[in-house]
Amino acid sequence: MNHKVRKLEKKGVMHFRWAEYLGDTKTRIGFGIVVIFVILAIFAPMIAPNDPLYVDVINKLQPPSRQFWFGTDNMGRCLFSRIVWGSRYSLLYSFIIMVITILIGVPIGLVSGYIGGKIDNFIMRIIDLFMAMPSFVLALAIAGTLGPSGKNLVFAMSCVYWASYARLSRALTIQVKEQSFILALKAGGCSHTKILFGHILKNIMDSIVALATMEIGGIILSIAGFSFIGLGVQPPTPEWGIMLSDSKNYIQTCPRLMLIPGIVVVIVVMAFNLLGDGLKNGRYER
Amino acid sequence: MLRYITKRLLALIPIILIMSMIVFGLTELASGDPARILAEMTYEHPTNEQVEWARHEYGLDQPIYKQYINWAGKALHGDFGFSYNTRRSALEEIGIKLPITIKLAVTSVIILLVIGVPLGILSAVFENKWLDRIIQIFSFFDVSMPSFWIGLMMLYVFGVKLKVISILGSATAAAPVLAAIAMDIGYFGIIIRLIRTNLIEVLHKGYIRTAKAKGLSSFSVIVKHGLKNAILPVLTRFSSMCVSLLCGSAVIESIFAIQGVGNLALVSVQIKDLPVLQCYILLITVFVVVMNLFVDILYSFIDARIQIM
Repeated sequence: MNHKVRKLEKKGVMHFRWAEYLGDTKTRIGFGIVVIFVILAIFAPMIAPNDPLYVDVINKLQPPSRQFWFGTDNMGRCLFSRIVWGSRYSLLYSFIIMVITILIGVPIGLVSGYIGGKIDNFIMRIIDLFMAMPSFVLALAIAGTLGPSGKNLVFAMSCVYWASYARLSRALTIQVKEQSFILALKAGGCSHTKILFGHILKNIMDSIVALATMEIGGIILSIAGFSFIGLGVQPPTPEWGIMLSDSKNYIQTCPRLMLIPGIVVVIVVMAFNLLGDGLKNGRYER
Repeated sequence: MLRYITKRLLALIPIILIMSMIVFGLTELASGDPARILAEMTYEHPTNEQVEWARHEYGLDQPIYKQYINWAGKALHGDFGFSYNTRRSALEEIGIKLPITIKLAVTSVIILLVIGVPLGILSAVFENKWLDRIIQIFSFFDVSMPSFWIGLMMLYVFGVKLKVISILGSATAAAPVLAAIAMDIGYFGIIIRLIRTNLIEVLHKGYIRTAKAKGLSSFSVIVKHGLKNAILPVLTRFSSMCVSLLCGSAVIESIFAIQGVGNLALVSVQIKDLPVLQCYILLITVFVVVMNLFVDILYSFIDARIQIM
């Protein structure tokens, strides 16, 4: 019986196959760049040639050299090392935010879509409210009272972003729960919890992964933006937004400080967007 | 229709009530003794008795729900207390800076429409031709760029290299326009893609072919028949974009040294100016909620297909 249900399930749904998604060149480029930055982030202590926090005022604003590949910043810190370490902070924070928002949003959306009726309506209203709230205002409120820090920024952004996952998984659950294999599972005496978190979740997972990849670029931009205006990660942490904000005072004397971190942010975000677009298109084409 | 509007208006009350409680609760969470800060406003260096006096005078020794009712009652009359920084009333403080931010937001919305909409239409009309490819590449780059970095680059190019604007402040006329363009970064891409996908879908429909066969000019086919039918999904998204342009101006304001409410909010976070912060957050919340309601109602007027519950 179980075997038959699984066969039905395979007919109705899509399964996640990386090889198919990576067929497109653009997607492959995006994936490659993402992998490079993940490696940079994980092995930052080994890759970075210098200590990113080591202040050496005598060597400040040095042009690129063999020791300092991208030169040094206003405090004589190695720019290349700070960029490498910065990828660790950006990717780590955005990954944490993504995991938290998925863990909050997806179960709420699943249950809401599966139950339906008045509870579903009520939850939808709350989701709409959170979707409408500008993330800036919430981050401002939290930073204003609990004090600005990386942890509070993660908290504030998770408060905003869970809603889009809840909305997507609710919509998908409503679609999937009408399919025949769910009826078969019910007839077979499968419990609601098992249907919901075993079978429906499995079927909507690839859409959620695609959404997460699409959103991660935006999350990286937001983290950098909030840190730039002082509501996020605090200096002297080597974070891209902070590096850009530090560079503002040296815009006349040393534009390199502003150019390099900016270009790195654009490359990373673009890579995630390419990958996300590829995943999304791959899903629709089949 | 009237019943629908009243129902939605009534539904606003609990939302605004909950938000006001959260905003008020923030003061309780914040570190520091508000009584001491208030006492310092009257006395240079308050003694303990004077702090206690201020605590009693401003009702800070009462239970929290009473404090909330007091605060909410005053807030309803527009009294959010005095700014710790300038000692003006918080509402007045925001009122002074609001026009600057509104002007900035309106400018950026206009620029967004003037550049974004034609590009979206062109992209859809020349689907998969080279012009469409170029516009798509532009919109892809646009959504991948941090707007504050573009702001810095503009400051570098126009301030340092071309010397059109001052890099210290918004003394010249060009600076607000550049700031408005920088604010639109990220939104151009979204609006171009939205119009492109929706317009392409419409242009493939049968009635467009009929209109063409009738011998209508291609302009009137695209604008009258195509765009009119493609614009609805764009509209909802566009309203939320307007809201976030108005609320998210802080980053760009700080780069171009524009003294708007976003900058004010950032400063009040740094110096813990809670009355101003509370006032700002509550006003924005009310604005967002009312704006959403307005758009929903407008939407149901335009699109008769929407079922009114």
